[in-house]
Amino acid sequence: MIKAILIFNNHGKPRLSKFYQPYSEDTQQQIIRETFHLVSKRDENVCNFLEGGLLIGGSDNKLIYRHYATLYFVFCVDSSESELGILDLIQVFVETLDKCFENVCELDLIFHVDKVHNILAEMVMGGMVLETNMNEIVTQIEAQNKLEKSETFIFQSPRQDR
Amino acid sequence: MALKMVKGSIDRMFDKNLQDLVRGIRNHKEDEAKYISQCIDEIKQELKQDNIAVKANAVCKLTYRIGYLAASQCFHEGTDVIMLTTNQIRKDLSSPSQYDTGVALTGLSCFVTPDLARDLANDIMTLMSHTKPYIRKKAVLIMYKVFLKYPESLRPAFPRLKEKLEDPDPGVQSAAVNVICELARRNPKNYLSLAPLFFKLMTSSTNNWVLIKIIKLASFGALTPLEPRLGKKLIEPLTNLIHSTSAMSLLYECVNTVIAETQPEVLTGAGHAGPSPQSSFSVLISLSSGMPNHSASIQLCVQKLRILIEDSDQNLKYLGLLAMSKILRTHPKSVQAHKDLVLQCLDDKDESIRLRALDLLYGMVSKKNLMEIVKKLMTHVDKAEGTTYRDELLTKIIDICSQSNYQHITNFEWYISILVELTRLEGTRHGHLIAAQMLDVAIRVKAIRRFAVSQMSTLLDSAHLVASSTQRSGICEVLYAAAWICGEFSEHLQEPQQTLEAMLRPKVTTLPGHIQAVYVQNVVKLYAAILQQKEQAADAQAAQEVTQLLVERLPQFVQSADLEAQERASCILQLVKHVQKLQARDVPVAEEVSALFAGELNPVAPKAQKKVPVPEGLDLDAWINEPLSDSESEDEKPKAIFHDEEPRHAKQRPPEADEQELARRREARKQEQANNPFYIKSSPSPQKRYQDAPGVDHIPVVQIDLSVPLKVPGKCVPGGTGDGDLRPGMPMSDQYVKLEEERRHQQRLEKDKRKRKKRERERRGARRHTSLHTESDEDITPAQRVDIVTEEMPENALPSDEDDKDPNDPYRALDIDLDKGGAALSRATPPVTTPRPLADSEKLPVQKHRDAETSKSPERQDVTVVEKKSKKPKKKEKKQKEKEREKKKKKEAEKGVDLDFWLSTTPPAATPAPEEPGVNAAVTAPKEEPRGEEQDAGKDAEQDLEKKPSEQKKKKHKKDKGERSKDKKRPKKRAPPREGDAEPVQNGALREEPLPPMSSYSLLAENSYIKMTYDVQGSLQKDSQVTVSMVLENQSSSFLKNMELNVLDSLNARLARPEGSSVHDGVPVPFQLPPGISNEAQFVFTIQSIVTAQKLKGTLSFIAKNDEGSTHEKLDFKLHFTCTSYLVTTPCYSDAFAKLLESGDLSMSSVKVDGISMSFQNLLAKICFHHHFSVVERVDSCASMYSRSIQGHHVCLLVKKGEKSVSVDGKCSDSTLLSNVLEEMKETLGKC
Repeated sequence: MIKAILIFNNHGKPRLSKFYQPYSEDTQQQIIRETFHLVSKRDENVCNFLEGGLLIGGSDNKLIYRHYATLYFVFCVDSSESELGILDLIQVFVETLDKCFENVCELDLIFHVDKVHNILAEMVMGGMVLETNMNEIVTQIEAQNKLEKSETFIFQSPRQDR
Repeated sequence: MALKMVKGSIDRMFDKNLQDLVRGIRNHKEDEAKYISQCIDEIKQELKQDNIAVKANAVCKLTYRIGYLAASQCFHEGTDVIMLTTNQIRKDLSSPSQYDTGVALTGLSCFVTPDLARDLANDIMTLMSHTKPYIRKKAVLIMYKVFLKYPESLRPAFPRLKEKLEDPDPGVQSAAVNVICELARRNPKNYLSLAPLFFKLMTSSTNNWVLIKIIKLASFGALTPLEPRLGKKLIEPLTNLIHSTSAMSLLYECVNTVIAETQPEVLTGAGHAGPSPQSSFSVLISLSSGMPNHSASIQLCVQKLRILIEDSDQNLKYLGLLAMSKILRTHPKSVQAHKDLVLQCLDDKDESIRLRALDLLYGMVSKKNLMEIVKKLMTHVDKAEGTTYRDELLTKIIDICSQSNYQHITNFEWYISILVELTRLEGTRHGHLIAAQMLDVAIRVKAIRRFAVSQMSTLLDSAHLVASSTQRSGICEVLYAAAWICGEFSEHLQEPQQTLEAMLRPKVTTLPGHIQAVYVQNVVKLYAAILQQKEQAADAQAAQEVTQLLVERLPQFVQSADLEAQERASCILQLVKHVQKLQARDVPVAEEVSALFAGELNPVAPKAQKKVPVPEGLDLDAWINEPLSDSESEDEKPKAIFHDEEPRHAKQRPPEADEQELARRREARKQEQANNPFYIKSSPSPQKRYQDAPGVDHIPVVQIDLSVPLKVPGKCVPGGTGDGDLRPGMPMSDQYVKLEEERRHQQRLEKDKRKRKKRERERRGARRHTSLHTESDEDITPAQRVDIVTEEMPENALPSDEDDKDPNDPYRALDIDLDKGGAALSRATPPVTTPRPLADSEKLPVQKHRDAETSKSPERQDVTVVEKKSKKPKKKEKKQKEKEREKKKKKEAEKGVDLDFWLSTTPPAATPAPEEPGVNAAVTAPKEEPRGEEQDAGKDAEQDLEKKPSEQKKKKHKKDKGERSKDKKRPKKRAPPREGDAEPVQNGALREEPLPPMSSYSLLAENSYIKMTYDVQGSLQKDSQVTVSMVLENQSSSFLKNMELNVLDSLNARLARPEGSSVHDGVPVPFQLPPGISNEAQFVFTIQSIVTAQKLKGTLSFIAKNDEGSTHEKLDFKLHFTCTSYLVTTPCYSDAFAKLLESGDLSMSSVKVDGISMSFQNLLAKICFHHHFSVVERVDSCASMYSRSIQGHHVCLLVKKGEKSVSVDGKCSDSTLLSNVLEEMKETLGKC
């Protein structure tokens, strides 16, 4: 199971957080801070696995992260997930973002916060991996975008009447 | 003002509230979107009202719209509105649009509660057979969440879940595998019957994720221990996978499984050794090739892992260590051989790897190497930076030493000195751990007490060092232990007087209260010991001095803020004062004072309570009171008020009959429980059978026999004056290491001698070398023994008894037998695969709509739909079940997929066993066979992995950088290097590069006399007003005067004229222009709607006067009000910006402009300047920007520069305004 997915930048500014277990907002903040603290002090050429995040808890859990340019992608998972498998998954996630946003950048995560969540929901659902095939994910996302666009068109029409 | 408010609230009375909104939305089935947008406009109006209540109402209505994303982010089990969502979710689940259903499922997965799970389980079950795979996979996945919250649904849903393992869609398959893997983790034996299916998937699936999941211990890792023959079966497909896959992650899991399953028959079973492919993993592949015997194969595994650990890739190193620790559990010996490597990993710069290595060390210690390993760890403690890692080291040292009752410690003096050395750690959190160890050792190892006491007294003496005020909470805990040990075992103290004084120093009062309390108590113990000593020596003078000392010093504790310390101190002070009086009269008191502490505290085994027999005649199970009978309910009582109290016969049933009845019921209940699969049976409670000799004596206490002198001989401690005297600065533990070596050597020699004698006696002449002496663990006898070892525990008590079972474990409820009622799965009795039919009570509840009265409401349509849908599955289910059963039978008959048969060593002809692995094929072609889309998608990832992601990344960065320096304008393809971004630029002017000169003034009109340029600026202060600044330049040699500006007002825009003037009057320009001079005039315009651009026609009239005379001239112009001109540069902080976007109430639009060569820096500057935006944040070639219109519209932009192109995404509270602004920007950018 995936317990949480966190994305923050090199300065610890959270860009996306998704918790698959309920935590109070304060705890979530604390978790993000702590995770950033743990991850950011690691060198570039060390392994991508980390144990001992205190808050998200349990010796069973592990942080698996990747660092892309300005962003850290951190997955907190338990022992049922394969370490390298999750690393692949992060890669798929990033590539999907890149495909959906054309040259994805840190600020996309803020600007398109709903879409990013949507993409994530197509990959991970309730802490379990739903789809790992990027083409499939992109197809579904694009179909939904199309649907959304046609909806907004209807939305806008009454305004244009006036 | 008041009137306005009243008027406002009367108007608002007719506003919609939330209920109206909901009702309205349901009433407008046809044009829902239109209705909603209308409502939103209303809400916007409402939000602008002064009335708080109106605003609140508007916000209420807004949140209703936000929907599942918001819910999934903020709902949890405790959120009380959740119970209101059931019907909405059900409605969405049955929505005709697959994405609506999908979103509902996704949302539900985040906040499912037991109630929701129960009510919706059936709907989700139905969705599991939806026609669209997109829905199917989501429905399958969410079932796990439903099972967790509502375990009763597992049994009825399981057949369908199983069915989904063979779904034609790989996504659905993967989801089903995921769910079953999670389930199997909790209770593997239930899922053993699925092994053939998994096996089939393993040979057929092309989805790496699915393969990993299956291979991962979740399935086989957990299953093989239950069914050893599975391992043999597995080796073949695994080998195939290892040969064919190019995905690193999959490879690792394969190897890992091979490691985990390596059992003799498994490995001999894999007779065919494939030539190892040329991957970086090739070394590991030979793992699966044939190996002669068990221990050798493990050896080989470990050796291969060693290569992995020595790899330069940190990830592999980490995983190698992880795998190593798995082997360690079963084959500690073979791992221990690689101690050097593990110790080497302790020096790694990566903390994760160090921690893994530490973990391994724990299992690797033996009597032989403990001292050495701990010594190494101690050096790491000294070197370690950062308290977390140091604390981790500290706990590990203690764990390692204390594991299984100090099994590996041969010399406790050494251990005590290690503990003392650890107290020198600054700022550790684990003082209490060290203290606990000190106490434990001192109490349980009697032989060590003298030594421990001497060490502890030194510690007390240097207490000021330990308890320096900065780290009070941490390490000073050891003083607690030190004080207690010195007090309790004061008879071993060399100089009790000195220790007593140390404990009474004024500085002690700065210690935490509970430590002070222990100090006070143990001061008296010491005092008693000293008194005894002095009186025996007939030194009355000295005895009185000690008493005097106490009387003087104890008051400092009486004033302690800690109640416990205070209370003890005042009691004892009085006691001592009394003693003083007695002493003054020369009464011997020592006897009585020490009587206070007579007797020894014996260590007691954990769970020793179980050995205490229950006194005869006490039946703990018997009722103390008669249980109230069921028939006696509350409402019977009032009757007694009206009747005379008559003896109640019902209550006094004859006890014998009662007992019989009870026994009968108990029996019946047991029967019922046995048959009820949902009843979670408690493990049989430990029987209370005891030996016939009761009594406290029976509590196991072991006497110690000493074989070794306890002192560190003087020669080993140069300069030492006596035992326990530390040479300052030199870690004492090191001396013990040496000492211990000598001791062992001595032992060995003795043993050798004995052996040799024996041997010589036995066969003289035949010589054998014993120089290559390998010392096994058992040979080393410990110097001291520990009291209370596990064997000493009561027969029925285990150390871990019942303690590790967490009654709150949410997964416990999932332990449901899925196959049939009760019969356990074993090798002898292969599982009958026909499942027990579901009992009525097990069927999933089908929610039915009860209300008939709301039939008028718009929900009606849904009701019928839902009902229809919820009825269907029942029939379908039954059919499916029947079908399945038939299928099963067929399968069993035809293929013989009976598990037991399937597992038999000779592969049945019909089994879809893979053909002999194409050894040759694997060599010639590196398996380029099409592996479905998945492969394409994952390819990049895989490649990345293979090339070691970090390295590749770095290379890319370097390249990027190079390019950048060569050609600054060339944009990068990937996210740029770290160094470049530093802090995302916020709200700042962008000053990094010199900007080209820019002017916002544009030409308005021109003739031979005059040139007009203008700029339009909005102001936030004045709603709906813009200022046009016009620069008039005299281009002639004439003198220009009486200039007057006039515009033709439109409906939307009007020129602000001086009061009293008509619409047709012009506005005079307040200056005259001599030749060649220019000046600026400002005119104010009022604008109604700012969402579109517009043009105003106008004329400038003036008199041109020169030497020849004056002429009346005029110049026509067209004023262009762009949408940009209504925007006002407004700074915005990134947090506020994010909030704004989160609110989700903005419409979105975007443009893209190609062929742009300008640097991003300048581009942003241009947008800022010409379009009145400010940069919120900038990360390399991407920036978010913000502006506000004069009427308060928010405009947010995301500007991104790609290769020669710029894309601008915009979000704005008004879509028309946005698209116009973007069009204008496009024009600007087109010129770049």
